[in-house]
Amino acid sequence: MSLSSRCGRPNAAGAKRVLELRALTRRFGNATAVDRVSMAVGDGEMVAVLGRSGAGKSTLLNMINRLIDPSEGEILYHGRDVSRLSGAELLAWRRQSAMIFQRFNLVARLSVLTNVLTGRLNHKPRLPKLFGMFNDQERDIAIDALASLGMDDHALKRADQLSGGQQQRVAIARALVQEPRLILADEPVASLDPVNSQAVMEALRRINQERGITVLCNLHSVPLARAWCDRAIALSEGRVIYDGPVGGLDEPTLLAIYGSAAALTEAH
Amino acid sequence: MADGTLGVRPLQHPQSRARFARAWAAQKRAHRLQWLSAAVLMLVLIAISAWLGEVKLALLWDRLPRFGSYFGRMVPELAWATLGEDLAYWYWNGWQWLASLWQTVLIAIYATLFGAILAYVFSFLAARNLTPAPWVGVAARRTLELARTVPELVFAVLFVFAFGIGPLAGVLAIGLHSFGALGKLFGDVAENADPEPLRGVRATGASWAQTMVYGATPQLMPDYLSYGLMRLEINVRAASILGFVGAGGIGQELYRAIKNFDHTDISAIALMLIAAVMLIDALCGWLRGRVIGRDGLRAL
Amino acid sequence: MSGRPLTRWRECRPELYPPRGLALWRRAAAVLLGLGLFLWGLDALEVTPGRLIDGIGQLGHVFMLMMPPAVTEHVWDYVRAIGETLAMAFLGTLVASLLAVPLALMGARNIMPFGPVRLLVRRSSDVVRGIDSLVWAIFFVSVVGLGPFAGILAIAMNDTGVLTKLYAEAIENTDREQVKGVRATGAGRMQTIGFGVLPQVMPVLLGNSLYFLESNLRSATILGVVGAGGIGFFLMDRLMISAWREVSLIVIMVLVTVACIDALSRVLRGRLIGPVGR
Ligand SMILES: Nc1ncnc2c1ncn2[C@@H]1O[C@H](COP(=O)(O)OP(=O)(O)O)[C@@H](O)[C@H]1O
Ligand SMILES: [Mg+2]
Repeated sequence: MSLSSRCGRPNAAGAKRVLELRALTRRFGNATAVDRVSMAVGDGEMVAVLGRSGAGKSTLLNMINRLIDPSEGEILYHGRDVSRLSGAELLAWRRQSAMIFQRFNLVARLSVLTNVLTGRLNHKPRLPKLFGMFNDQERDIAIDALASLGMDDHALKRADQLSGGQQQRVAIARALVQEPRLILADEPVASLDPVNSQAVMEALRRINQERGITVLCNLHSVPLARAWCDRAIALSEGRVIYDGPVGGLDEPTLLAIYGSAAALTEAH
Repeated sequence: MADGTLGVRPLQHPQSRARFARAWAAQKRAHRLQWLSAAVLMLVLIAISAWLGEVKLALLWDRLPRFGSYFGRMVPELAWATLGEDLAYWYWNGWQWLASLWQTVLIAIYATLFGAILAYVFSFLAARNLTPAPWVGVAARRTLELARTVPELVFAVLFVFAFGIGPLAGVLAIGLHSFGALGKLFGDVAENADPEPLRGVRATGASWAQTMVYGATPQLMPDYLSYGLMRLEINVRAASILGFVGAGGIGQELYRAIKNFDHTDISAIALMLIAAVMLIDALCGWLRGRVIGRDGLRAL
Repeated sequence: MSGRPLTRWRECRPELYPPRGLALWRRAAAVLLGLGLFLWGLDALEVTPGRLIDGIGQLGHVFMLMMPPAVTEHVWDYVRAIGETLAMAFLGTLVASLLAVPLALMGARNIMPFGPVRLLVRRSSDVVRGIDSLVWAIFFVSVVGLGPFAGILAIAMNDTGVLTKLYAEAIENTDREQVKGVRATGAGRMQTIGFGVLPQVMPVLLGNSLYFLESNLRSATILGVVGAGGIGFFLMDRLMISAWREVSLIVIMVLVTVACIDALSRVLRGRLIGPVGR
């Protein structure tokens, strides 16, 4: 795997800011999982979020999607604070900021197609969907998404009959049909083998470049970040300790992120 | 030292050995005391219950022969030569009974359906991990408790009064009780639901109801169906006696036969009822096996 | 999606779409048939919207009549009757549990090698089970007369059938390795059962018995309807003379008692089975 970034587009520092976090904080009891995180993400950027296990990466992403409520701070999307949304507006925001999980979080007993169609639940008309009825247009969209990930042949299989890599691609298809403007991927390849990791990261990168969807991606390894992302943000104990191009992740920075040289070699 | 041969390190000091023996004895005494007090408590409970329950073993012993004669009178006169006529005589009202039995089964099926559908909705409200708001959860659990604590027959009497004599009262009474019983069982299952698919669906912007339908239902449905079929078995039995208070079904016929000492009628009806119960048990058992065996529902 | 032309997949992958044409009609017919069956059943049960609405109105009326519960001089009768009810449930369950253990051993495949005995035990337990305790109560009232004793016998009878089946299944599901381990020490048949099988099933047996104590309390509250003692007699009596405010008092007393026993049994079950067997 080459260490140089595969990104075609320039580092989007100059691009229009779409997402901005201001002193975003989340506490669990006495522990602070995310501590006054401030950052800005440009339109169409692909950003890696790095950090040791327990650094607060998952909490951060879940807060942006609002699966976890922030304790303090703001999440601005195109200048609008989404951190206090509720009701229908909250659901609409979740639709726009699609999540991808480490363990895929598909519904095991549903077909691949139905799993992808759940990505359309927030789109109108909503009532028929409560009874399993999706119209032809939505099925077209879902099958399109599956086809773009090479999964359309598995559409009628049950989700738990697929391999991990296939399941993650189904999960990406589910995210795509949400028609999101932002994709939040929480360690999308941490439970996959190298070949499948490659395929999944490639898919995310392609989506980022072809559709211009902004991607925030928690990653467990630095080479992955270097290979696939424009920019890296590193967390330690809930605080941002690095924010810059992936090329700037030098030895001292990595030491600061991963604490010890031993952990550093592990991370490679 | 004898125990040295077993590889157990003997206690060195006679003093500590004595201390150990004393502690051991105390422990044993405490244990024995616990058992003893439990046994005494049990005996006292039995004695009080026997007094309150007017247990008269001597009377039972005296009347034991009546068992035989009671059952003896229930046996119809059947002879090989005239078997057809004898059977016809035994089941003189067979078609009527069959119709009542059918009504009993219908009551059970509709009551189970009615109770299960309500319980399905309430299980999501009641389960602590799924409830839309904590106070909704508390309210739902209390409602279920109330519905399952009141015996079916009490509901039946009330409903006969309100809805009139007939099977409708029976359906509502058993349905309401089933709602309480199934709601509790469903809720317990739902509390153990896998949170991952739930999060996956919720993250797409699905509403609460949508999350329940797409994230929770698929994983819970096999258990729900299995419990529902079990409830159907129970409800057939329950429906068989509702006729006692005028809530429809075979119970009415059975009650009349018992009141009028029509012994052969009792046996005729009871046999039909037992056969029906066994048939439905077998059917439900088979269906349950299929629900559990076939790994999951048809993918939507 | 984001301006890209949509592929119309229906032509090449029709199986991914809801059916059309003939298949759609077939499905619609099936749905209509199901609906028709459902409505036909409702008709057979004499369910009509009018009756439902009238009945709900009546129910509201009765509910108003029930409030507030009347505390009369009969309260002590009720308390005693509830005591009787508890005694019926307790003794009935106890007797049934004690009878069911030997019967279950005789009905379990891994204990009783002799098929006919096993079959006899299992089938007769099915028959006994198939008859509701209320029917047994009528029978026992005619044998030992009116009163709670008949109720105890009725509960014991019905539950012996139920518990025999449950226990036998639990015994058949015991871990064979443990039993073999006991047999390997040179234990005889009875010792093998005593040390290999019973300790394994004991928590299941006790847990079930406690569960049935709860459920029998509910059954016992209604046995009085046919004269087999307990609070059911008063409940029925007050219902018949439409003494609604006393009915509500009795119902509340029953609810409180059942809730107390449920809580007690939950604690005991927790002790017996441990935190694992929720
Ligand atoms: N639901 C929770 N309750 C309590 N503590 C939590 C919860 N979720 C996360 N934490 C804590 O917050 C910190 C950050 O967790 P997380 O965001 O999962 O880290 P990462 O994804 O970087 O491994 C950890 O110390 C973790 O123990
Ligand atoms: Mg994490």
